[in-house]
Amino acid sequence: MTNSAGNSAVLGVAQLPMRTRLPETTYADLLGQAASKAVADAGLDLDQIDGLLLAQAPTTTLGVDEPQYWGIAGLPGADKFLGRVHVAAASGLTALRLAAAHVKSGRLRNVLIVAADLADEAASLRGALGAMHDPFTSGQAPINAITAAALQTSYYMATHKASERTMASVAVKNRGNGALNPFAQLRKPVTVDEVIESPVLSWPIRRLDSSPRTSGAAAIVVGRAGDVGPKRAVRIAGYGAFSGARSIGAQMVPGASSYLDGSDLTEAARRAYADADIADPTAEIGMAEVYASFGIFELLSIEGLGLCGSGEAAPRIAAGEFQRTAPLPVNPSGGATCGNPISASGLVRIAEAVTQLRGEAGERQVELKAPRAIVTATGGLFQTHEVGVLEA
Amino acid sequence: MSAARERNREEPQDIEFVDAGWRVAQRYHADPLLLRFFDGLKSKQLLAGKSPAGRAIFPPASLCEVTYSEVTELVPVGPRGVIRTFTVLPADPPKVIVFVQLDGADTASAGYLRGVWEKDMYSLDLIGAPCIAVFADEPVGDWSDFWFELGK
Repeated sequence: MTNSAGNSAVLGVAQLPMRTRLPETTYADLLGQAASKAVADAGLDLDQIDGLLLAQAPTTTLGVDEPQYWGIAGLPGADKFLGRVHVAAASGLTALRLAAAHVKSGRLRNVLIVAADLADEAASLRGALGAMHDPFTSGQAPINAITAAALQTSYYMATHKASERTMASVAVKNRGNGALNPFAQLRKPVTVDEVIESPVLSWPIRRLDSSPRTSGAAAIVVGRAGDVGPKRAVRIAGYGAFSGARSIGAQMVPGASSYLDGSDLTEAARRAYADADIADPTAEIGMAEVYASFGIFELLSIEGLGLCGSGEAAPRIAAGEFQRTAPLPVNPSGGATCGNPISASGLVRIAEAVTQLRGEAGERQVELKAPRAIVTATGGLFQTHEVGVLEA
Repeated sequence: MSAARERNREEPQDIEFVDAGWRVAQRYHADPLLLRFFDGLKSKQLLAGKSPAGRAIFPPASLCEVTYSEVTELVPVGPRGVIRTFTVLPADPPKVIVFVQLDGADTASAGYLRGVWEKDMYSLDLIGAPCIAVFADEPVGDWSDFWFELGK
């Protein structure tokens, strides 16, 4: 094995049902439930976990109070090797890279990665996200997750002559997929008309083109491929990451336009494919779970991953490609459109891909033309990109 | 995401919530070049930072994020520029947010586009359109001192 991850594999996964509110749950409960389910899924005993990575944003409680008071230190493996990763919504896949490197090195045997998000504890998610910006430059205009994605969407529509109806096909595909996913928060399919008639959040982005506010949790166990049965272990075939410039405005000009054309993600994918020895992703990949809190993220991801040419993703989805029953399904879970516990969303992508590669996805199981899945996660304003290749 | 929807959702019964916030007072350190930029606005000047390699960063920053070199020099840019992308915020009337690359700058920066009829706000032809920074009559040294209007 010459790739970055060596013989490391995802041995166990767990996700909790995503919900608008989980009022009877604390962070400690969520983390503990997801953690123990993932360890059980791997068929391991709790004391076989010798490393714990918490892969989530600080919360008011977890960030300020003593972590052990809230039970992080009580999670499996934390007494042996405790770490924490916070790269916003990219955290789950960043943690996967770190865990795989530790397993490959022989330093750790079984690393548990866990993340939870209780978004309903914030009085307003928009208010919480809006509080995160630079106090000196934010007076220019309200640039937040929604307006920033809208800036990419209008550019995509102008550059590739894509209509609002064509763009809406992403949400329609994903909401249809989510209807079959018992973990999804939103399980009602929508039509193109419903998407383009839903209220504008920041034109061209409308409410149904945007992910909901979600509470949820997920966990995975990373260990050695040979340590569980061959059907259960999903090998980490490779990974790649790329983080772009700190200001999005520096990446919107001729010659440096990665914020608008998604080329930072292309670089992360190039690294992942080189690591996993993939020459032709359209032939060698069976499915993809990409982080798409807005439709534009999915389009830029499909194109950045080399699954189609620039500007082709929207019309091809509208024409029926990348659907759940198509040869290369993208977000067969429904993706973040149907539930987005932001901190845990990277782990949810991994859990979904592993479940599909094992053939355990039940009603939402897709037919895999190749035994490989791509997972992605993206942090900041489309600034930090993670691409992983998983192989059954 | 809608604040209105959040407010309308009923609290579940028999669950005790603890109201608490995370308010930690901060005294943020301003980038000295940015303070000089705000000063420049008072005399209706748009100042960019110029890196040793010649990259013009607007608004200015004391560290060039491409070359990691220190930036100490300020140079005027604009007032003309090109709209690189935009979005429209729902309001009455709606507000157009643009990212504009000012003439002489190597970056685009955010601001409001004013003077556009509502029927023209959703035109994708805005991308690539020439525009000009327009100053308030009596600038005070903050972001509200200037905005953009269409035109060469």
